[in-house]
Amino acid sequence: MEFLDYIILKLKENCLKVRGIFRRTIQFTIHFLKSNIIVLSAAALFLIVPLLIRVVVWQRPKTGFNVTLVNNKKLISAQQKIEREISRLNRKLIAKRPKSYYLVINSASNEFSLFKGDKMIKKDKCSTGSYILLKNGEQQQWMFKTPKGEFRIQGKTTSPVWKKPDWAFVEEGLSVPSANHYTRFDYGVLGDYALSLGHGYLIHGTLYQRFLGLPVTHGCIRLSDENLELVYRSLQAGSKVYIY
Amino acid sequence: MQKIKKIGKLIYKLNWKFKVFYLFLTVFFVFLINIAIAPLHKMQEFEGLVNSDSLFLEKYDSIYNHPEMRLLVKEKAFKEALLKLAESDSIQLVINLSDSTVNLSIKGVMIHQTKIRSIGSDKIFDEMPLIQEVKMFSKPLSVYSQYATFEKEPVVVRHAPKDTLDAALNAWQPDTLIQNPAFMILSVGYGINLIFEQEDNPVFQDKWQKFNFYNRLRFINSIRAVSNFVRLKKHDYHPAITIKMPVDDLRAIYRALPNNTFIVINF
Repeated sequence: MEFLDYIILKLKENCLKVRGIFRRTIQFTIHFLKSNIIVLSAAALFLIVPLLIRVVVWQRPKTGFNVTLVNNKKLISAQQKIEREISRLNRKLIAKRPKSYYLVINSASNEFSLFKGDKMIKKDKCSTGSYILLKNGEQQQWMFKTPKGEFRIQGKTTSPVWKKPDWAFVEEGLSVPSANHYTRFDYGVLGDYALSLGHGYLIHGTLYQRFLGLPVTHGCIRLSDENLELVYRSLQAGSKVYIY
Repeated sequence: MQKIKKIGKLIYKLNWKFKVFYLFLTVFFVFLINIAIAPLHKMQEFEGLVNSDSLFLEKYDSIYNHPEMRLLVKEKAFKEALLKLAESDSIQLVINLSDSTVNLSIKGVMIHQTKIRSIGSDKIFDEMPLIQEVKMFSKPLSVYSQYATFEKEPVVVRHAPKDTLDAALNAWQPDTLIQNPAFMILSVGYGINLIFEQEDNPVFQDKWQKFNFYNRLRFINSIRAVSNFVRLKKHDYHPAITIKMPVDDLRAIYRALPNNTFIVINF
């Protein structure tokens, strides 16, 4: 019991101490505010006035042309004129879109979409450039990224053979052979078809189907066997390919 | 007059510390006023664009301001801008705020479309008269600078292996799972800032990145404001449009846009 009384006494003492501190703080604050009222109100005013000015700025009346009274005939004829101009512009814009098949490749999400006119035929996974910068000492380096922009199909081949460039050997830690050495020719790795985009970039198949949807290529575009066949049959030489 | 003299005497009698304090407060007050009236300068600048183009004023019929004409006039301006945009070879951005879409386009072909989840625009755009909108947005705007919280080209540097054993030991495994939160800002013509935010911020890292992104923006704006004030220039006000969209689309857009590109905005 004595212990409990002691605890209660101590608690009371502490409560009184806290109350004293609290009271003193309030008294000090009131005293500070009273003695510095001019300074503080000036500071507050200096902050409030710009805010008020900003509010007033936004309330500034609109300028520009006022609506004048117009008769119905004039309004209708103006509407018709502008509608004609819009449809003319629309026709011009539609003419920009390819009428036949074209391919759109999203290299950020590794997806392709095959379109015919404004209709989407197929959307699925693909693989694009890995953004690997391969350095072979200070002299040589290769950047494995898929170029972006508008391209055209330059040519189509069946059962393509891959003529391995230098980086394919450097990447595997092999010595680089001569230009037409037999080790440069790899059969069956590009799938059944290949479509050329120019500058060595191809749309082709892959043995690594599990990597579709990931950025793993050396700049080419890899499709699954089924999608590659569809794309091969749909796109002709000259068909447009948009890569972004 | 006597009162002013009284205040003068009062100031004269003041402690030097108070004098410095009041001087600092006055300078700060002028600085804040300079910032507060900045939108007014911007509005005047936009008005000046219209008034200085007599050819445009001649073509612009006052009947366009009729409420029934407004949408048609805006649509025509938008189509004109799209057609001009199609003349350029690079990938460009089309922001259509009226139907809440953001598109990527090459030579007039829309290659990517995403739905905007939410839009926030500066008050200056709400108050903008139609004639200004037509003048400013009937042609593509240049994108002067781009910044994002993620890399435009996520380049991975690899050194060529010494031999086949080294190549096998250091075989690279593809992985796209590590992705930074996406926030982006484009500074376009007329000093407009387009701020793109990812739609959701589910984890702490996203919220922290957003906080840092906006702090960076505030810091740059503050530095610019102080620098202009010190050089006795007007505060450069940048009206902003904030767009929230899915994170994957945001990444695709930023990575697709070349450095010097154009943008069309439709309100």
